[in-house]
Amino acid sequence: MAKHKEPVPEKSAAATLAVKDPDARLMLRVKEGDDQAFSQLVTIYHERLVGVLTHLIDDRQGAEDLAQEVFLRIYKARHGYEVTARFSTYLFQIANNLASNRRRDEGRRRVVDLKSGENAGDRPLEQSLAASSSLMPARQVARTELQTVVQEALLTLNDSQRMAVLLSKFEEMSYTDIAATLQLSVPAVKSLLARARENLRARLEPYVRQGTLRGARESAG
Amino acid sequence: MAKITRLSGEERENLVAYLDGELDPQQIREIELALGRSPVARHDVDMLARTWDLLDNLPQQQVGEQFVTETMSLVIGAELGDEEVDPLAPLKARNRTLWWSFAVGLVSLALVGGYVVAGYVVPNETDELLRDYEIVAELDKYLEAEDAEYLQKLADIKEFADPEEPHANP
Repeated sequence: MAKHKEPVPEKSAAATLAVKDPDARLMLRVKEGDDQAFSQLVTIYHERLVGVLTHLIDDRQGAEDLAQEVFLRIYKARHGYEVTARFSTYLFQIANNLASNRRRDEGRRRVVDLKSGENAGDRPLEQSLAASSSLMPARQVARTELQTVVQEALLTLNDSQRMAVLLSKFEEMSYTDIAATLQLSVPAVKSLLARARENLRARLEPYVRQGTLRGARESAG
Repeated sequence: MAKITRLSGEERENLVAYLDGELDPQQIREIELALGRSPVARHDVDMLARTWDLLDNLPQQQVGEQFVTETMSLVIGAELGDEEVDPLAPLKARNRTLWWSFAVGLVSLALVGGYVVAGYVVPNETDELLRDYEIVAELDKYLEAEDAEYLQKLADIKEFADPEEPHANP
């Protein structure tokens, strides 16, 4: 009698992913004890990770600390690593979870700050621009002001929208990968990004149309 | 003049997905049809694309190579030290050294003390010989006389007393 063969779709999918994703292959080497491979992964991802985290939590030093924590978590969990997605998806999923925890902790601290009557983080756009543009050449002022306007617009998004935007824009992730990273469905990611881009458009359209900061200021006013 | 038509919620979602290249061919045809008939939709797509491009102006984050070195030290160090560096480790090490020094000192003191006490308590053969030197020196005479009392009596008689030697007094 012919023996029934068990289908192994997960393993073959994982094998396909491992073949397609060189970073997943590096991580498999890390799993086998190759620390040099881990150093390569840190080299490949550290700048991208710090960049995304900086825009996500709006704190450069905090982003570097978080990025180190992400790499530490991945290294500690290397023995249990299995290829179930692209390595970047795995990495940014951990980053998103750690950033969420950090934001939750910060939220608690902010409540305490508000009770004491101080909240330096909520400066009006005008004040932020004035502070950042003093004593700079005109072209640099324009550039800095543009950056500030875009940063402010990004910060108006909620955490999930912001992460989805950053992954889509800077990591060029597909909706499927963003869904895996944020642990959402693909239709949910589609809605999330549509709302996020509508919000960005509402904030930035005056600036795009007039090509000057005046538009953004009038809109904010 | 083109008729201004509002897009449905689903169509607006599809506009973004269209820009992101996430629609299937059928959906792409539908969106392009909507764009063809609605200037509002065309304006929306244009603005969505241009505001998206503004994100390129966000400051780039330059991270030094030092970050890689520090991160590798951190992860390898955590692995070697069972994952977390104990901030009290130096203090504990110093306490361990003090404890061992104290223990070695105590054992040394006990050994010296024991040797000294043993010297006083346990009888020493040489000390016994020194203490009984006078008897040992005259032992041949005592053996010859076989009677210590007799020798004492002889010593008491002046004629037999030895002027140079003190009285043997066993």
